Amino acid sequence: MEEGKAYSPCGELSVWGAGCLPVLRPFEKLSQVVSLRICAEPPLFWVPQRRPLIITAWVFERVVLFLAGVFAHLEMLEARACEAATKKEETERQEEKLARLKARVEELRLQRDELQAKVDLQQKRQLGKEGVASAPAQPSAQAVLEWKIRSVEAMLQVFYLTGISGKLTKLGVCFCISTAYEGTYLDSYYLDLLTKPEVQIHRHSVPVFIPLGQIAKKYLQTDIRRFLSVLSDHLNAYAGRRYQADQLQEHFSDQIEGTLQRNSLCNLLVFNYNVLSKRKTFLFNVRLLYGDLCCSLPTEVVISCTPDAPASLAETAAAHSDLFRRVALHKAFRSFSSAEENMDGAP
Amino acid sequence: MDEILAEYIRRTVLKIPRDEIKTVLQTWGFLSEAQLQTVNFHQIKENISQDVVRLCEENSADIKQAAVLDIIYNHIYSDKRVWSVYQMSKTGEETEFFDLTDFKKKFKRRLRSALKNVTINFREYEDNSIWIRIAWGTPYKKPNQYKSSYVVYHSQTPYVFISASVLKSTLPLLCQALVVASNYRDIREMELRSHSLNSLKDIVFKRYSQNFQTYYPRPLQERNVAPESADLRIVQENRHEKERIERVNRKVFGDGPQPKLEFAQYKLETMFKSDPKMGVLDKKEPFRCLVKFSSPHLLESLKSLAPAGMADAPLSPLLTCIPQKARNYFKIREKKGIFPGSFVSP
Amino acid sequence: MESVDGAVRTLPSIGRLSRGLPFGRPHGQFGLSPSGRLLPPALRSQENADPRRTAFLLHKQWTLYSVTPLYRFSNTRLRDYARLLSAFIAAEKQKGLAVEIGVELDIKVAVSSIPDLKGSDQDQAAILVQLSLRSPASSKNSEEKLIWLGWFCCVSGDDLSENVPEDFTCLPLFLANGAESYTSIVGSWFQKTFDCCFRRLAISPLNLSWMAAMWTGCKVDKTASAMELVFSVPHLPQPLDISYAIHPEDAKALWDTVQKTPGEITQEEVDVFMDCLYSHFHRHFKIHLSATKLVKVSTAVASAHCDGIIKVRF
Repeated sequence: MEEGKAYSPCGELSVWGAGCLPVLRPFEKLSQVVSLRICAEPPLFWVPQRRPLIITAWVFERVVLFLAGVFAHLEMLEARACEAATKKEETERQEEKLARLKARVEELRLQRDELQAKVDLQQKRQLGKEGVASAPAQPSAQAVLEWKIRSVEAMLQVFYLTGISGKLTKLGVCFCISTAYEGTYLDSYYLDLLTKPEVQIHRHSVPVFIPLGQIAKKYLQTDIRRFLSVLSDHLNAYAGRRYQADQLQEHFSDQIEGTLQRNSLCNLLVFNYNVLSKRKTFLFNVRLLYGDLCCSLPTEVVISCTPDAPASLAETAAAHSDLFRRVALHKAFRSFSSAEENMDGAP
Repeated sequence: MDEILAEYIRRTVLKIPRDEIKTVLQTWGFLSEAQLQTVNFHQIKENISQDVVRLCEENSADIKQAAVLDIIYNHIYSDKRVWSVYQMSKTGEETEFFDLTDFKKKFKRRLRSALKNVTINFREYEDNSIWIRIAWGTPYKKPNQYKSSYVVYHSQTPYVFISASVLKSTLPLLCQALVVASNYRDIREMELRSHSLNSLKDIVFKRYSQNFQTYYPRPLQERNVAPESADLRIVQENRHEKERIERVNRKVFGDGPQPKLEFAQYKLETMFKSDPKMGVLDKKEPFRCLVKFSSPHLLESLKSLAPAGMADAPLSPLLTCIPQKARNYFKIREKKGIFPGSFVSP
Repeated sequence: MESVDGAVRTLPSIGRLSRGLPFGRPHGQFGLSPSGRLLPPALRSQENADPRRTAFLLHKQWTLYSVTPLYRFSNTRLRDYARLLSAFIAAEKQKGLAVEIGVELDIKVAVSSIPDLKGSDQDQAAILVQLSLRSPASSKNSEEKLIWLGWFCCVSGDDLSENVPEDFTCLPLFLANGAESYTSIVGSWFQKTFDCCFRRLAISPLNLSWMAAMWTGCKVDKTASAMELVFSVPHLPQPLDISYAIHPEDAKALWDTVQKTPGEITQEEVDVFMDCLYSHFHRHFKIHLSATKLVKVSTAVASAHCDGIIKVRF
């Protein structure tokens, strides 16, 4: 085994086989293909005369890159420190501004309808005027486009006050519709519109069950403001309905029997709740239907109760039904509880 | 409680990881807390499952309870199934007052009229989703509980998430029942599939991060403070390029986490184009390929391709359109007309 | 046919230069040796070979190992080797190591030579090792079940054989099919007995691309399956695999226009072929496949994985 030791080391010599890669003849037979290639695998040491050249170039490159890298790294660290400081300042400033603006929006929300009416009126007038003006000379495409952009910009100003904010993008406008219910801020939804060649919805985050397609079909081409305000009404009403149902589940679950059944749009709520009458508990079954999707109050209220209930309960049911139609759901429940307390207190 | 049902409950329990059996049973709510107290949840699963079956026998469980347990299991471990999205359509535009009770009734009636031997169960979840489990039989055979279909539906939406039974012939029946029950006219597969049900929902309900440009963008810095590449050479060489890629990538993919998909498939039937100087393959027929991408988190890996220098920025719209188009199976043909470099997917 | 150009084109990647050379041969000689650039035309005995004798190689998955030359291996002592190996396996079994089989089962070892499998006259004939199970109940009957197969071979190893000193036999490639526990027992017996060394043989992406090109060019009569290239993208936070399958007719049409050198295949042609496929891919997806790692090639003919696993389907 003496000679053997010289040639069979401990695995360092990993490569064995025929050094026969570079030129192959095409083959017809397969076993040949496989065995040829497999055997040719390990040693592929070609053109070693080039080796010094390559290695020199390689080492040189590394040195240069290393030095360059150190320099760049230092530079970058400095830049980042500076950048971060600026960013922080800016963020703080923006947050402050946001809070201020939100307060203002809330205040102005009350004036919204009034403002909306004004805008509509003005637009009608403008349309009337333009109709006359544009009849003799067709405006150029460019002019129309410019007008569109101008009107979009103007619109951004108006809508900013109504919970809708927008920003001009490269190809159109991106709107953010914020929703709120009775002073509580709820979700915001986004809408990315393309304005060229015609207005179209590029992307959006509006829930799929909001009839966006219908609203767009009606107003998008003819009246963007109207489109946005209708959409905003839908979203606000939906957010409001959902908020009420959530509130009811959160705060009055002890009065509700079983689960509150709702659908995605929250335009049908079905639940049972306990009513105390003459020291006895009765169960009311309620169906709230919200026929107007732009409204967060029900258009139809059906209350039914077990047949063995006393006649006086029919009155209570009518009173509740009326309340549900006028007041937010959780507020209606709050008033029941306080009324019950009063009744309990009375002899 | 018969043997078959006992065995079904036992096997369902065996599928649950041991540490979570108790929680799942609590969610199920069929066995009382006192009964659960008697089970030693530290013993081997085999024994736990037998104890559970014994308790179920005490309570004389029926197939309805067993099915609910199965729904609960599949709801928690929904990633174990492959979900496919279907889209329904209708002619009218009227919005409906979707009534759950009504929906269930119609669904059951429709299925039962076609096939008597079916087990149908529903369960509602807090996110307003309705889970439906259907076990299928034949006119002469009882339903096979082990080959059930699972359907997840959100009311008033046109989308349905189906994890179909291996019994392929049942799918048309299921689709029909869904369309009828939800007042739609038509249903089609969207070519969007994944293990992650939630990601599919994020995609079709447009809940994924789309990076809208509005007045208040999130500050740039906090995001992505990933440790700088250790290779200092890259820092210097590609600093500007890197920033550009970062910007482009952010525009395309947004800031937030991507929906989770595991695969995307493209059937290419496009022309083979090469440098005329090379003189290779000049054919008028399309070059037929099938390209499959697979990853535990496909969109995240695609997102990291350009920054890693493996791809151009922006990445091809064929890949970046996946969430937007809500599909991950495509057939690509050459677009006829003026833009020779663009493709269409029918 | 033997062109200087051909050699220059096959410049390997830098990484390869750092590997050791067999037998410590001086560098220059190896690269300049004209014999290194040409492959022998065919398996020498192909014409009169009986295909049935090598048919068992097909339709199986093989794990590849490289083997250093065997010391004092003799073709005439194969029967003895079978007996010794059998005893060795029995002893290992007694030790209760590795193999999980019932004690009552007996393993039969056969070592034989396959003269058909060699590239040239100088080559050593391939050596086949077969392990089969026979149950003692029916020991007289030929109820044997083949459980493991392995073969050593040397194809076109002229260059090596010439340089192998006396007493050494050059069979540089070992292919195994069957449970890994048997591979390790057989391997350790060979290592002990012939003072050699086994090592898993990885197939480099460069060689995988060779296989892709060559196998694409092979005519297959059956309804061929697609040529599939599998790439893995390294260094991503989430791993990504890309499978790129090309219709066999289209792949062949492309290869036929790329393959121009009569009677041979050059590295350049292989490169052009792969580059064309990469650029077609890039045109669609903007991903540079050249920056990823080719890990698997499968064609109607065969499939090969970079981990050194091949399967001949043909």
